[in-house]
Amino acid sequence: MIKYILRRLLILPVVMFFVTFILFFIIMQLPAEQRVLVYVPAVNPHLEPEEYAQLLETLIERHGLNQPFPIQYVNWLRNLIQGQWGYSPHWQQSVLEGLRQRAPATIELVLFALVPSIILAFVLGSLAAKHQERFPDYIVRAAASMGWAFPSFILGLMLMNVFYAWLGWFPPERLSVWASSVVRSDDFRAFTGMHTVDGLLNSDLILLWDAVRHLVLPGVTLAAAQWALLTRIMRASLLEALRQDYITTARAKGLHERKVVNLHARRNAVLPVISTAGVATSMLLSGVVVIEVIFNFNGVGRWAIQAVLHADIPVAVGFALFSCTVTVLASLVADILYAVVDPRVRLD
Amino acid sequence: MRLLQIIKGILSKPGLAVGGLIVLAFAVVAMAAPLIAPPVEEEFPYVLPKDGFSPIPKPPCPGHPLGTMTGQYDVFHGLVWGTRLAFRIGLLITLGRVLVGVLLGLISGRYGGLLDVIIMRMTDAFMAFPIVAAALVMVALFGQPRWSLLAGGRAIMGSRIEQIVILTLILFGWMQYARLMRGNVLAERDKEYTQAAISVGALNRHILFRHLLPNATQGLFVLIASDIGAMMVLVAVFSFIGLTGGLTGEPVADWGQMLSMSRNWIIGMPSDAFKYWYTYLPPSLAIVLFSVGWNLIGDGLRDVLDPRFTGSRA
Repeated sequence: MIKYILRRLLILPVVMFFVTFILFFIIMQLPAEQRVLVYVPAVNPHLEPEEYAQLLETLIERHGLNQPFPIQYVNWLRNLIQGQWGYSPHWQQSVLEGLRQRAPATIELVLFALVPSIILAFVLGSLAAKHQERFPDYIVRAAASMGWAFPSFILGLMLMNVFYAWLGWFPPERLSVWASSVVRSDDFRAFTGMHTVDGLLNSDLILLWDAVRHLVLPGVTLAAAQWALLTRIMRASLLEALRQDYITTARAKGLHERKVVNLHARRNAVLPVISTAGVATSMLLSGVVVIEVIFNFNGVGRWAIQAVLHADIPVAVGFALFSCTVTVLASLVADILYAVVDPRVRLD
Repeated sequence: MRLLQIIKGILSKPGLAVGGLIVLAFAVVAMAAPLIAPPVEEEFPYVLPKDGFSPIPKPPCPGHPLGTMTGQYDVFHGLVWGTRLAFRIGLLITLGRVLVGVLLGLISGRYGGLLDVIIMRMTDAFMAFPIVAAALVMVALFGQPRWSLLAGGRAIMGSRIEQIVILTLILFGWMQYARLMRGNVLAERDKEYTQAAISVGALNRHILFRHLLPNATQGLFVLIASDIGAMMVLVAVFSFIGLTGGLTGEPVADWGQMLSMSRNWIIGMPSDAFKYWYTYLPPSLAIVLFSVGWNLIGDGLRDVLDPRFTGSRA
C-alpha cells in the first residue's frame, strides 16, 4: 500500500511539469515587450516614446525575458516555487495573498456542495439500481438526466429568481451586512476563514445560521450537476456489479440480499464513482467560478474573473496554477482511495 | 440489417425521439431565421434591432412578440438568430475537438511507444486545466487590445475574444476524443484485418484512415452529440460572465449575452419578483432546451449503439 502511494506520488511532478510547461508555452506566445508590462505597474504619460522603449528594454534585460525558452521556463518555475506568483494590478496585492484571502470561501462552498452530493449519489444511485425498471429507478434516473443536462448557471439564475427575489429565503453574497461586521470585529477570531466553521468555533450560532443560509443556493447549484453525474455512474456500475457471477454465487449460497448488495456488489460498484469524482473536480472548479459570479459570492473565482475583465494577467495565470494544482491533487486522492478500496490495483 | 436495427432502436427510445424533435425544431428555426425575424440591417443579421433608448425592459407588444431588453433590444430577434449562433458554435467547436482528438488518439494507439507516452501525458496535463481557468488565461493573455496599445503605440486590434474562446474550447477539450480513440484503436490494431493490411504492405496512411478509423468509432457519436449542446452552454456561460463580446459594444443575438444583459432584472420588483420574465426566461429556456435536446440524443445513441444492448457487433 505504502509502496503504491509512493509510486503514485512520483507521477505528480511529471504531470505538474507538463501542466506548467503548457501554461508557460502559452504565455511565451506573447512577445517579450508585452510580457514585460507585468513589471511596469504605472506608466508616466509624459514619457517620450524613445524613453518608454528604453525603459522596456532595460526591464526585459533585467528580468531575462530575452533569454532562450528553457532558461526562462526554469526561472519562472523557480519564482513560482519561491512564492513569487506576481503582483495583481487590478487588486493591488500579490497574487498569492489574494488567493490566500479568498480560497477559504471557495473551499467552504465546494465542500458544502460536494459532501451531500456524494452521499446522495451513493444512496440514490444504489436505490435506483436495486429497483431497476421500477418506480424509484424512474424517478432517480429522470432527476439525474435532468440535473446533468440542465446548465447549472441557468439553474442558479432560476433559484435566485424564486428563492431570493420571490420568497426571500436565501440571499446572495457570503453574509448579511450585520454578520460581516461581526466577522470583521475584534472579538471574532477567524480560525479558518470559512464562516460556518469560524461561527461554530466562536460559538456564534446565529452567525453560523446566516453563513449557511447564504451557502444554500450556490451550494445546490454547484451540487446538482455533480450529483447527477455521480448518481448515473453509481447506478450503472452497481447494475453491472449485480450481473457478475460472484453475486450469483453469493445469492446461491443463501446470503441475505442486503449483504449481497452492501458487502459484495457495492464495493466494486464504488470504484468507477471514485475515479469519476476525481476527474469531475475540474468540472466543479469551472462551475464554482460561474456560480460565484451569479451569487456575488466573494471567492477565488469571482476574484479571478473580475481581474481578467481588467486584463490582469498575473491573476489569470495564478488562478490557473491554483486550479490545476487542485485538480491534480484531487486525482491523486482519488487514485489512492481507489487503491484502498480495490486491493488488486496495488499489485501491478 | 444493422441500420434497420438502429432505426428500430431509435423508435423504441422515447428519449432519443424527443431529443431529436427538439433539435430538429431548433434546426428549422435556425434555417428559417431570415423569414421568422427579418434582419433590419441585411449585412449584420446578428446585431439586435434597437427600438428606443430606455434602460427599462418593455413587456411583449405588437412588433416585439417577446418584449424588449434593457436598451430596447428585441428579445424575439435575439432568440431566433441566437439559434443559428448556437448551432454554429456547437458544431464548429465540436468539429475542432474531434479533428484534434481523433488524430492524436489514432496516432497514439497505432504507433505506441514513446509517442504514445508523450501524447497520453499531454492528455493528462490538459485534463488538469478546468475549462474556465483555461479560458481566463487565454482571454487575459490574448483578448485585451490594451496590451498592444501600451506596447509602443501599435494599432489597436479589434476584439478577438470570441475567436479566442472558441480556440480555447478546442485546445483544452480534445482529450476525451483522444482517449476514446486510443482505446478503440488498441482493441482493433491486433485484429486480423489490420495485421493483413500491414502484411501486404499497405501505407500507414491507408491503415490509419481506411482500416482503423472506420472501425474505431465506438462511442464517438455519443460524445459528439452531447458535446454540441455542452459547447453551446459553455460559450453562453463565457458570454454571461463577460468573457466574450464585452468590448464589441453592440449586443448580438447570443443567448448568453442576452442573459447577461438581463441579469439586473432577474430580481424583478419588490412587489413582483417575476415582473421582467420576458428578458431572461426566453434565452434561459432556449439554452436549457438546446442542451437537453442534444443530451437526450447522446444518451439515446449510447443505448442504441452500445453492443451490450444490441448483441454482438461483429
